[in-house]
Amino acid sequence: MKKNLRDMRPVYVVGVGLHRYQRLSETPYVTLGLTAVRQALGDAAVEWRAVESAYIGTALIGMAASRPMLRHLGATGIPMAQVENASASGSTAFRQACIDVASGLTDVSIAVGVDKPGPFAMAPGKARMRDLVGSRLVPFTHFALLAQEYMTRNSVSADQIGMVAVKNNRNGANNPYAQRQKPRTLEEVMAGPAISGSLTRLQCCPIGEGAAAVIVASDDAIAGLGIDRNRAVRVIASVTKTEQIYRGAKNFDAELTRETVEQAYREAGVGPGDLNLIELHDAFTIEELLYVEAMGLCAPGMAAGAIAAGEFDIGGRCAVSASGGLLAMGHPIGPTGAGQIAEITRQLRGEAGVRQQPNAKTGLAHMVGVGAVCVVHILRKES
Amino acid sequence: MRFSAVIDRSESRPSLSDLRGGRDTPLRFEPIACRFMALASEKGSSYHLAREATMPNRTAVHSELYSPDSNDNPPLNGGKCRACGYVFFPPQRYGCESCGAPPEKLEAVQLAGRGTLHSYATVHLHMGKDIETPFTIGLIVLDDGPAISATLTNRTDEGLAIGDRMKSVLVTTATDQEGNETVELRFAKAGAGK
Repeated sequence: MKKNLRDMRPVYVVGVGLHRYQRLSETPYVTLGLTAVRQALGDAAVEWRAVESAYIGTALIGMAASRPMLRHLGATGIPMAQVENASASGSTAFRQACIDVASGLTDVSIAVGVDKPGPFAMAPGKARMRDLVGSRLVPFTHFALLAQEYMTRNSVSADQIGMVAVKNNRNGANNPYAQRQKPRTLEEVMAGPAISGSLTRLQCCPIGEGAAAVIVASDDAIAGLGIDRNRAVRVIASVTKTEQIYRGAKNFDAELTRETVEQAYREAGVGPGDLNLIELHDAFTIEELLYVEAMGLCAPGMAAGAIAAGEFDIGGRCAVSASGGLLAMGHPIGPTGAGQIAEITRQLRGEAGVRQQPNAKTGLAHMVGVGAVCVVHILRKES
Repeated sequence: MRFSAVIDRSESRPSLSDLRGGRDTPLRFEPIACRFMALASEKGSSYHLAREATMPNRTAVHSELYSPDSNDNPPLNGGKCRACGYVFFPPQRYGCESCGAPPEKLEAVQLAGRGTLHSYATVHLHMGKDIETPFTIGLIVLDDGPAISATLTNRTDEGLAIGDRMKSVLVTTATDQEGNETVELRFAKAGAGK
């Protein structure tokens, strides 16, 4: 019989680590990744030799990235694999690590996201199905189209959408791992430079380098390795879906998010009202409005008002992108999804410092990726 | 110079450099329909005859998606699944995305170059070396079903509104020294009465 993650062995996040997301530098990816992994090991207070499988979310570095990095922790011979799933690579690596532990294949697994910008190849263009626009339609224009449609349908202004960047940059300013750490006024956000449609530079996420690592473990490992159970955060849903056919010009990003989140709610036995924080794929401001609506946090067309009312601020009813999100913390591709898990874990432990969402018990991580894929995890701090 | 009147008219329009070719070449940005109409009135005869006699070779930027020899409001080459009726664009021969039917069940169909504007965005910044900004992309739901993205004939979104009726036009994006033309299918607001 099929099982959900929650029907299997409980899986807990026991250690998280990050290398700051930043502009492309001379730092080798090995250093970025090892920094995050060592921090996660220290956070969990476990030795590398306790880790039994490793999944490396990476999309840009190239073939065979894992062992040339991880061997410097001691070559223990464990299974390692790269996981490429576009922007959701880190999220998918985390899911694979969870599945290993939940199924009983391992007691301790690690997901690492690491990437550096550089020349890379995209498969969809190799399908030999040219359309009329080709490279003229890049992601920011895809989302500019969604923004224009949203503004028209809901009588929302470009400034109201820009407020997402104000909120997320305010959060990012308090995150030492964020690529953008400056608070921004609405005037600064809207001043440009204009990129596409109503989207300005600060409404588009920066793509830099960085790393994130998450260690997951079973109850047996927590007991056997003496891991602090009070700091363990349980993964209560792991769901991933891919795009289906939606009629006409229906917004597939929002539809795919709606389907995936609904299944995650069902599996976790929670609803939107139970969420204290969300890390979502806010690569562009408009996405946050679309996704909080698709997740059922507010009615269609009401997200801009909810943001203006502070409902999604830290301290609001549900903190959205407390880390700064992709807009401020950044989107180095491979690390991003794993970094979301790191933020939610710190929040649910009450260790998020000035970014702390009060009384956070349940958090949701959401990524979408070109293709199109969506990955959702729900984490809970059990008392 | 047979086309001089047409060329003069085109040069008074906003020009758009070839998005594929070199950006140094100033290019006409002229719906082919205007050329046909000018020819027809000049010769007092069918434009088909006029073209056979006088038109240089024309090449489509996307030869698999439309014919370079279409007249006003050219159709698009799409696909249809004979098993489930799903209509799609661009055409492909891999298998049906809707029902999974194999390539043998897929057939070529022409989709009318008419639809409704679902959204639009003027692109101000583009990393492509040969892509001159601004240009405007439209998301259009074709009357025949598929939602497609297309470059619009106008560089900016001035005068555009979601819900506008749109139609395809062929635009000359390059002309070589022998007068051979490269044409591209774009979309424009459907004019009143058309």
